Amino acid sequence: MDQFYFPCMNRMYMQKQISIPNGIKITISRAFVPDQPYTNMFPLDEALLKGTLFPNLYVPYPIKSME
Amino acid sequence: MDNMYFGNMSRSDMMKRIKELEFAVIELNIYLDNHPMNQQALMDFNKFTKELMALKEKYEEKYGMLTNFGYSQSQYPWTWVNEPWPWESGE
Amino acid sequence: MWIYEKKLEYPVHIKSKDLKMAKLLVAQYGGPDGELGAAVRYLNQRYTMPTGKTKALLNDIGTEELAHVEIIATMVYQILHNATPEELKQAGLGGQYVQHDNAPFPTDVNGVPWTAAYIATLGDPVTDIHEDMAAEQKARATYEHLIALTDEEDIKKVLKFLWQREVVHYQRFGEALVDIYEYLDSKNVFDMSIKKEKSAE
Repeated sequence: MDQFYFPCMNRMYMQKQISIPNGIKITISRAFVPDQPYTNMFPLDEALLKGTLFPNLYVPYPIKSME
Repeated sequence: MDNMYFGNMSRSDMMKRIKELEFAVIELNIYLDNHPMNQQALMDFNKFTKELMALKEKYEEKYGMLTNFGYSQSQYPWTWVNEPWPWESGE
Repeated sequence: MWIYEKKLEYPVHIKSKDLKMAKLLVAQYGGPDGELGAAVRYLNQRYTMPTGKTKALLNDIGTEELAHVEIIATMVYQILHNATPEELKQAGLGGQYVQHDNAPFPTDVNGVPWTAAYIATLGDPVTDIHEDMAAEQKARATYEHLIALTDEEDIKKVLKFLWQREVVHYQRFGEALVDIYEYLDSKNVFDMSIKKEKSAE
């Protein structure tokens, strides 16, 4: 049975890790999205208008007339 | 969350606050799906959920059912069929 | 099981009678990167997610997408519902009138009906989450194109809300992807194709 497994360790597991600033280790050939820290919230009326509760996820829309 | 708190809110104020609370709860819900160990997010989720449930109950007592299939009771006659529906009222 | 809540996630009050815009908005109802596709994509992929967290996330974002389907359909409904056949015809919606009268119908902007070919499910969680991240970006870009094509504030307000939701969902899927990699690493999960060969023995 082991013959099916032996040379075939998870290929992703064997990929090289690389350090980026802040001590975060990432792996090549993998997408990486940083974790969103839980910091503060918009007031709830503002959150609904903006489309997110979280100031650190809010992106002001690029078009000026939207503001 | 009693009559004192919600008592003098108009129908549109109540619906506005329900939308705001529910949106906050949606955001916290999907945040918690990825971060189930985050205590602060969980406390905020529970706090807003408590206010949302109380406010919905008050709204439904006055203006009829907001949710079907056993999530709210109805006065007579059956209020679920009341118009307008959300796509008509825009609410 | 789902229950219905008799309210919209975000209010929609379209005063505009811009029928040409209604024709374009349909892109996000039944188009390849629209909300209906998003809902079906995530809800269909949740069955084979590897962890409780990722099953929850696909379930919950899929459910929110159903609320977005409703928002888009409401916009289309509000613009179309009082239009006369002649007005529809002049706006290039003669075909809409012939086949659907004033009813919203999930097609792309060219009238091609919604199809499951717009979604994918490979059953491989890493692959499926990449699909979802791409889908959020495609929907975000489509909203930007739609916003560029209208001056109506009533319409733009709603589109902007939905646009920001794409950004939030992208972040959630990104976190889920990192989480799935960690899960696979921690399990020292063996190559999936080899596992399948083995179980076929």
